[in-house]
Formats: sequence, structure tokens, C-alpha cells
Amino acid sequence: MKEWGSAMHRQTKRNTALELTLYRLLTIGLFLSLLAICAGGLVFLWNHSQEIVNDSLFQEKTVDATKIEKIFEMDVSDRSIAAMLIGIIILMLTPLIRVLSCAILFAVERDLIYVVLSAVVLAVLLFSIGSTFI
Amino acid sequence: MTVLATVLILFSGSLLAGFLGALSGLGGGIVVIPLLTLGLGIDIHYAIGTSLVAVIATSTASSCAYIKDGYTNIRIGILLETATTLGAICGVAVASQMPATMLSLLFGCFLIYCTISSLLPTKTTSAAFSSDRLALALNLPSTYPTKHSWQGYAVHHVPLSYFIMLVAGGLSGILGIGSGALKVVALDRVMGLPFKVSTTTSNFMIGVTATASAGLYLKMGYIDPIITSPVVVGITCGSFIGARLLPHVSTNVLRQLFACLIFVIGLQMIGKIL
Repeated sequence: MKEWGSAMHRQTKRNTALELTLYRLLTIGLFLSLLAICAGGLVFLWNHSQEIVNDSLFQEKTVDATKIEKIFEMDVSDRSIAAMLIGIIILMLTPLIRVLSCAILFAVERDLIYVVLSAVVLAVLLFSIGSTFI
Repeated sequence: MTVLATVLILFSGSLLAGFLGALSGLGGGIVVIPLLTLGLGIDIHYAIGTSLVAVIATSTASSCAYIKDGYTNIRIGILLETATTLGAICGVAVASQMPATMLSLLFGCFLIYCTISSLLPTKTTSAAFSSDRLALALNLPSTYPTKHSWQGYAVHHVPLSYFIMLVAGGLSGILGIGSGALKVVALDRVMGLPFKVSTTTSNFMIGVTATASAGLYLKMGYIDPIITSPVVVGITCGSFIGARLLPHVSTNVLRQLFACLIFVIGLQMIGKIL
């Protein structure tokens, strides 16, 4: 039992080194996302702070299958809004990065079951985010 | 209301939401939606879109801290995420068919039940060699850091947890939450993980679940950058502060905090119907 205990600990130590890389990747992604959002947000606030908030936000909405190209057509003449949207999309990609990193982690450890499981999760995420762009 | 005033309210509310969320394993989306709908009168579809993005932010921000500390169990996370993401896609798909009021009521009742059960005496953590066969086959048991060393723990009831995660994913798609409450309860009570492993692994998972839903909400045009941005920034700052505090807070305090939070949420959900 003592051997088994330390074997688990060794694996945990090895995992921790790989997880550290994952942590760095995530932090970079989050930082970039927040940078874009803050930059866009502050510029927008500077230009529009005293305006009254758009009424359409407060009205009852029905489901509307708007493509992201259309959102860009409507709003992106204002670059600050474009920056915010880009930041949001980068943010939505961070869990994707995380799952991809996990898949790589498991591939390195030759843990085939989990490579497959990670691929399944990745596929679902790509389907969801990709649905906007198709 | 001016843009400035709205942004300030959203930012400060989200700051609190992020702080509480990081400590309790919830996404903070549960605080964000009432803030937007009840507090500011914003249409619920935009609130859900914003909430989903906010949950992703909380999850990523908290995970950055937790992955380093070694609490999160990635294998359990990935395994159960196959359930939550599929559930989320189905959830968004059936969202138009199902009456939200019915779901709110069920969810509220479930949370009340969870509050009661989470206040029951804590179980002792069993050593890893008492895990279920399936858990061992899938290499799920692991260790987590305590003050002196790495403590092993066991994993149980994998199929039941998987089923609960399907439901959790569905709820995420319909209600716009990360389903953190349900995930922590499943990991803690059903799988039998140490509480801090449950909350951190839940944090890891809710971001993925929310992304699955958020992608479709983006397609539908329900993510408005003007309200989403201050919420994201606020909730991230709150999460970082909360995540830094986690290793220094006792498990009992976390349990009580969690119990209070989900009780209030449960009442809110039921109150919406009446």
C-alpha cells in the first residue's frame, strides 16, 4: 500500500507540471479577452456614457437566428463594440483551449480513453461556437 | 437610465457575484440573471446570454488558480463534461418547447432539498482503494493537497453522476446557468469527493458547459456586448479575489456558505412562479 501511495503521488507530480503549462495558456487567453473587452468598453463608455440605454434590451424578444455577420453589420461601424465582441469570443474559446490541452495531456500519458472523451467534448464545443459562423 | 449608471451597477453586482461564485463552486450566473432581469428589467434572453459568458469568465478565472493548487480532478471533469455539453445542446434545442416556469419550480425544489441534505453531518473521506470498480477502471481517484501532504480519495456512483450531469447540462442550456449548484452536489454527495475537489472540479466544468450553450446563444444574437462587458470584467475580478481566498477558508464555512446560497436561489426560483 505504501508503494501504491507514492506511485499516485509521482503521477500527481508529473500531472502538476503539465497542468502548469495549461494554467499559463488559460491565463494568457483570459488576459487577451479582458484586454479587448476593457479597451472596447472604456472607449465606448467615453463616447456614450450619458446616453440612455437602448430600449430594445428591455423588450420581449422572440428567437432570432442572427448570424454574426449581421451583428457586425449593425454594430461594427463602432470599433469599440467590435473590440468587445472579439474579447467575448476569445473568452468563449478559453474552455476550448482547456479541453484541447487536456486532450494533449492525455495523449502524452497515452490515456486513450480520455483522449477520445476530450475529443467528444471538443467536437460539441466546436459545433456550438461554429454554428454562428456557418 | 444612462449607460454609465447601468455599467456601474452591472460591474459592482458582478463583482459580488464572482466573489461568492468562486468560493462556492457556482458560476455566479445565478446571481447575474436576477440582477439583470429583476434589478434592471432587461429581457431574460439577453440576461441568459450575458450570464453564460459570465459563467465562462468565472470558470476560466477560478480554474487558473485551482489548477495550480492541484485540487481539480481533470479526468472526472472531462468524463462528466461529455454529459453536460450534450445536455446543454439538447437543452437549448428544447428551450422553446418547455415552459420555463415548470423548470424553475422543479429546480427550486431540488435546491431546497440540496440545502437540507448539505447541512447533514459530513461524511468521512474514504481512502482511494474503496472506489467503485468503474471509477478505478477509468482512473478517476486521485489526491488533493492538505496542510501536510497529498490526501487520497475515493470515487463512487459514476453512472448516476453521469445521468445527473446530462440533466445539469440541459438546465444550463435552458436557464442560462452553469449548473454549478447541481454539479457540486453530484460530485460531493453522489460521487463522494472531498468538498474542495467538488467545488474546484465543478468550476472547471461549468465553463465548458456554458460555452456549449453560449455558442448557440451567440448565433441567436442574444449576447449584447454593452451589458455583457461590465458583467464579465466585474465577475472576473470578483472570482480572482474569491479563488485566492479558497485555500485559507475552512471546508465547514464553505459548506454553510453554499447551503445559504442555494437556499436563497431555490426560494427565488419558486418565488418566480407564485
